Amino acid sequence: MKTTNTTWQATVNREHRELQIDPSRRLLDIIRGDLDLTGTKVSCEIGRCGACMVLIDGEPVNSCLTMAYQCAGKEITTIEGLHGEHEDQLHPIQEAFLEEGGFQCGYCTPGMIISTKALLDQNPLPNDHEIKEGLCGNLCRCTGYGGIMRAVQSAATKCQQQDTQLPTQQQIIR
Amino acid sequence: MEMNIETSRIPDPFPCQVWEPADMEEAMMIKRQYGANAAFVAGGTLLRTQWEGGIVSKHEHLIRLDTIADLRGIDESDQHIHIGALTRLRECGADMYIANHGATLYEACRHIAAPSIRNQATIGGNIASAVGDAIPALLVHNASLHWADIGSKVDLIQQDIVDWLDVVKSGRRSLDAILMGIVLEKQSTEHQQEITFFRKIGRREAFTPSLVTVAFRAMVDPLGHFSQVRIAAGGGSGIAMRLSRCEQLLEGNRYHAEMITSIALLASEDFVTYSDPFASEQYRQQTAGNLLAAGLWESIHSQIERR
Ligand SMILES: Cc1cc2nc3c(=O)[nH]c(=O)nc-3n(C[C@H](O)[C@H](O)[C@H](O)COP(=O)(O)OP(=O)(O)OC[C@H]3O[C@@H](n4cnc5c(N)ncnc54)[C@H](O)[C@@H]3O)c2cc1C
Ligand code: FES
Ligand code: FES
Repeated sequence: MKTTNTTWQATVNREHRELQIDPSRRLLDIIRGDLDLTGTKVSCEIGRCGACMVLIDGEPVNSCLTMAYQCAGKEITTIEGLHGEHEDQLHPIQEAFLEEGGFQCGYCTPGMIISTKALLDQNPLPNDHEIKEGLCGNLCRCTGYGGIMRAVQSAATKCQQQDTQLPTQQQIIR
Repeated sequence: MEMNIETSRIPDPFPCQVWEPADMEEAMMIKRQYGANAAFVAGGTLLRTQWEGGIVSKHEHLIRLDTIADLRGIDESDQHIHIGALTRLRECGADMYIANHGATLYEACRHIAAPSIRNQATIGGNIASAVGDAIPALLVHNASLHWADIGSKVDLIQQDIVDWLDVVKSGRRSLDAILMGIVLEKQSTEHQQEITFFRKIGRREAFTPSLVTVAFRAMVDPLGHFSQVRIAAGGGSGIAMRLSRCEQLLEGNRYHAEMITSIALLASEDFVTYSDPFASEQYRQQTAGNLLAAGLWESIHSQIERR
């Protein structure tokens, strides 16, 4: 009878990574402890606050609830993997959170931004109800949700403008 | 090509062996061998919460169910909808077969936890926990469960969810059994209209585990008579149940306004639940009654407005 291999490999922020780890190790511990990607935060450790949110194959997932074997071979994006057109630029969602006062202490912010990215990728123009639903797994204890709502609305507009400004694949080929 | 394989710097405090059974039989054999030291894992969202909360110590052996073929996906036949136990809640809450033939289940799946958890959690894990919010919804859809169990050989068992909950309550549940899938019966809605709703109350407005849930399903003919009424309540860590006297109050009768207060009272009398530091038994009972009455009132009135 077969047991899961202890060699874990995945693509993290577009980079191939391999580790010797226990297959039940939490993705949260891999990211922060083994890969030094401490932008992903840790708080409740039971799936309730969203501070540890990452994207796995584009879907938001709580890394404190995910075991190594569940994300092996997949594409993982942490907050460090988001940026604007160039690597040294902010992503439009990050800009929107800055401009709209979408954070105070900033502890929940990486998780909020990751959930916003997943929401806008799926639904580029969400209404208020859809924003609340998309972010209902992320708690903020200090900003108040008004600024966060404004930040997501502004991020949606910015992402749309960016999409219309970017040349389409066909234009590039021509 | 040179490989750069690093070793984890921080060893896991509770390492465990993760098994990859090729089929149901192998999975159940491993479970038999290691007993309470082993657990089947689907999405792992509940298990992880139980380990972290110290409710259960981390199992030494985890038995993956995702390596077994055919446990995932939703299929339709002439009379049934079949949902594989490993289907994620996200898929159940987005599926049109389930929306059409299991409307309260569809609603329940959209209200369990948050989107990120529904991306990982499965319907099978929700049911196997025996306290999942999908259960009241399955009770009103007369769902049956397909299990594989192991005695001297592998047995495939089909059981009504009501009967399975009785087995759970009596403490006779087989801990080696694997839930393979859920079957919903399609029901003809010819000459009648189906009314369904699912209501959940938690400790706060945003996503949160439930305190009380109520599921409702009935047919209404053009003259307003109710038939095939099914009502269930559950929530928290209580075992869900059908509310038979509430069902009888409506069955064969036409809607009238006094039904609303009567049904709220009956539900709060009949709902068997419990107290914990967050909510008393009485609060849960009264809430179940109010959710049911409000849901019925809203459904009937939206039906009248549509006419
Ligand atoms: C933050 C948070 C919020 C939550 N909110 C809700 C909520 O609102 N409502 C709700 O109902 N639940 C909630 N849950 C609990 C849980 O996420 C769900 O019940 C989920 O559906 C469990 O599925 P899973 O696949 O993750 O199960 P797992 O954790 O993999 O398994 C749960 C249990 O079932 C057993 N098991 C799993 N699959 C099978 C199978 N096919 N056959 C036999 N045994 C099996 C496992 O051994 C384990 O004992 C929440 C959890 C978290 C972390
Ligand atoms: S740390 Fe993962 S959800 Fe709170
Ligand atoms: S900004 Fe402080 S918790 Fe959200």
